[in-house]
Amino acid sequence: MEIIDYIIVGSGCTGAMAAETLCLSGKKVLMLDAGIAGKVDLPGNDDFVQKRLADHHQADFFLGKELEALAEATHPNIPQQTAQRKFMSDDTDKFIPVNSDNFFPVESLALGGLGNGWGLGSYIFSDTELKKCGLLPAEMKEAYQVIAGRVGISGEVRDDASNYCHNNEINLQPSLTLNPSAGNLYRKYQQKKANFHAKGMFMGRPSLALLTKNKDHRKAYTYRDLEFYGNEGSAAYRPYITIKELVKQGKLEYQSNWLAISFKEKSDHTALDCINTKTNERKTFHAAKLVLATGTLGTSRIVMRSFQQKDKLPVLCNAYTYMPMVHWPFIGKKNTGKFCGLAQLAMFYDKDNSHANVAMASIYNYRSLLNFRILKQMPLNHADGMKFLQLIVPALFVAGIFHPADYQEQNFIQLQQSSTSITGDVLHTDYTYTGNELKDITATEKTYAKAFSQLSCLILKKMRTATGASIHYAGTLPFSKEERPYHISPDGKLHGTNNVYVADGSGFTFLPGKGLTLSLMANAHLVAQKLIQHG
Amino acid sequence: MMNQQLLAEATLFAKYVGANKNDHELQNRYCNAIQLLQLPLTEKEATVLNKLIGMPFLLPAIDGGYALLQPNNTIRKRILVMSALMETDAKYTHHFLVQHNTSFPIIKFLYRGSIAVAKGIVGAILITILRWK
Repeated sequence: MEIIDYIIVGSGCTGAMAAETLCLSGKKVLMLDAGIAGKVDLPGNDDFVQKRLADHHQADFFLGKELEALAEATHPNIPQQTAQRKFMSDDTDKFIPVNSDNFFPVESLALGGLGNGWGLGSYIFSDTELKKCGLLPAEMKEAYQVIAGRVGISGEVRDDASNYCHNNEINLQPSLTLNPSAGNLYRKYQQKKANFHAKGMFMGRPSLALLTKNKDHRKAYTYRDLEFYGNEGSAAYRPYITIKELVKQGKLEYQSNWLAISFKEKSDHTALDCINTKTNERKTFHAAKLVLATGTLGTSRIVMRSFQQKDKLPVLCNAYTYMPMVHWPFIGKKNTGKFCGLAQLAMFYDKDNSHANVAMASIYNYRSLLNFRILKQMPLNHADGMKFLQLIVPALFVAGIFHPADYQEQNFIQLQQSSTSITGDVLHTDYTYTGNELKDITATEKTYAKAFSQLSCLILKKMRTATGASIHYAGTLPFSKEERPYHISPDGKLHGTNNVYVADGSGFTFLPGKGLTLSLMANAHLVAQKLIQHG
Repeated sequence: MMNQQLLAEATLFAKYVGANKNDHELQNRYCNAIQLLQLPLTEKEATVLNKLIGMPFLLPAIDGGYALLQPNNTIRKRILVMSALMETDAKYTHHFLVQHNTSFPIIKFLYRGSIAVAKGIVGAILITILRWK
């Protein structure tokens, strides 16, 4: 029986960052992962417009050879997935099934996990937000710098939103060039910014894990506007970049096709039971220290199966509002110039200027996901709808608003037995927004709608997406200094164990209304660092 | 051998969304796509589609009516397939990408929007009267 120094379960953003830190210790690190792989390279050199005008086989690229982009979505929260990103959700129904009437989480068994589809928004949490999450601000500030150095973040050093995005605590590459319509929207904001500040609203450039200058072997972003279809030059940070590099350097052993089921603590190590996703073979791996980084819900499944004392845990999820809108001045404008489909602007609503309950809007232009996806949602006939869309797409913005999330008694996840599931169970979830939380969400939506109207935008719709659509989940195993079952110590150790650590968001006791990936990665680094320090 | 009913449907939808009348390649791609995607029509939808093949002038209104009353209608889903195939065909890119600034854009925006809404209302009335829902 071989006992490996460190086993990391999961290859998403947190697994990758924990791996990079642990590999520095010089000890043996094994990553176990279901590891479904996708293709990330973009064929040819054409940008979006050149491809649209000249490529006679573009349907295979944009719709998929099996027309994956047109297939009926089986999951309510992944309706706009491109064919190239379909691998992210492959086999999740089979291996990590969910049963719910009202909460539809998105999970992944892919190499790189949900990091493959991350919008790249990289935001620090304020001291108040960190404390509410159960994290230590001083430690996290150092960790943010480490992670920014690894992944490469571009953004604006100083603008109205910089305090909310990065507070000048991390090194930045220059921000992206704005799309023409986004530039116009931003100028409108700057003309009226005193009014917005008075309402607690601040707009600026988002910080993104996207290179605008070459870094190591990765290349700067080239504005091909095909980022939903591939990752040219690895300009966008994705966890597979770290994992492949560590494997190439011989520092990390990576084994795919393994789904972790449960663990058992032995006297000097931990035994991890896994199922092979190809053969259904069962195998036990042995680790001196086990690091769980399969995402909040994945880790909770493993912990609930392992302890078998409690089958119900609390959960946090940001409510998410999706607000498509048309920026009047750009209706019918030429739409074939330099363009980027990633977040152009970020707006923060901090009504009491406390940095404690911020609700953030990421503002995107729309082009490379093609018009038919919008046509599907419009209450118009297709022929006129197409002509209408041709006019409005150059002016189309989509704002995605994240609302902060606190614990609510009615929200939980539960592991139920299932005879049809390979793992013998299914995750039952229940999540609703009620009371003051619902009032706050509605008020925030109204405030944003009014703000965008003042920026010459016509709001087409306010869609509060199905619960789980934010893809931000946390808080199932809350941080606690006291030794309590189903809780995590501040250094990431799972209470009730000697050798099991949790590196994902399971311990966060609050979810700020912001992108959380940078904070997840920073926490994963800290957990790994403390693990090394503890020997 | 290509299903004649499906081909008639492809011809109807291609013309409706603005493709060339004789674009047999697009029509064939549509037929293959429908066979691959499995978007089965209900009995009622099949009857309505047959009538629309015979009376193509009704399609804009009926499509608009379904958009208001029954957005998940399979006829609409099938028209969307044709739209997506057309959008990803280099011949028709100019229908989707604005390559030069449009003159009088706000007037066109309001006009297009009003026409589409009007057709939808007429269609919704027709669908209700004809019991095509």
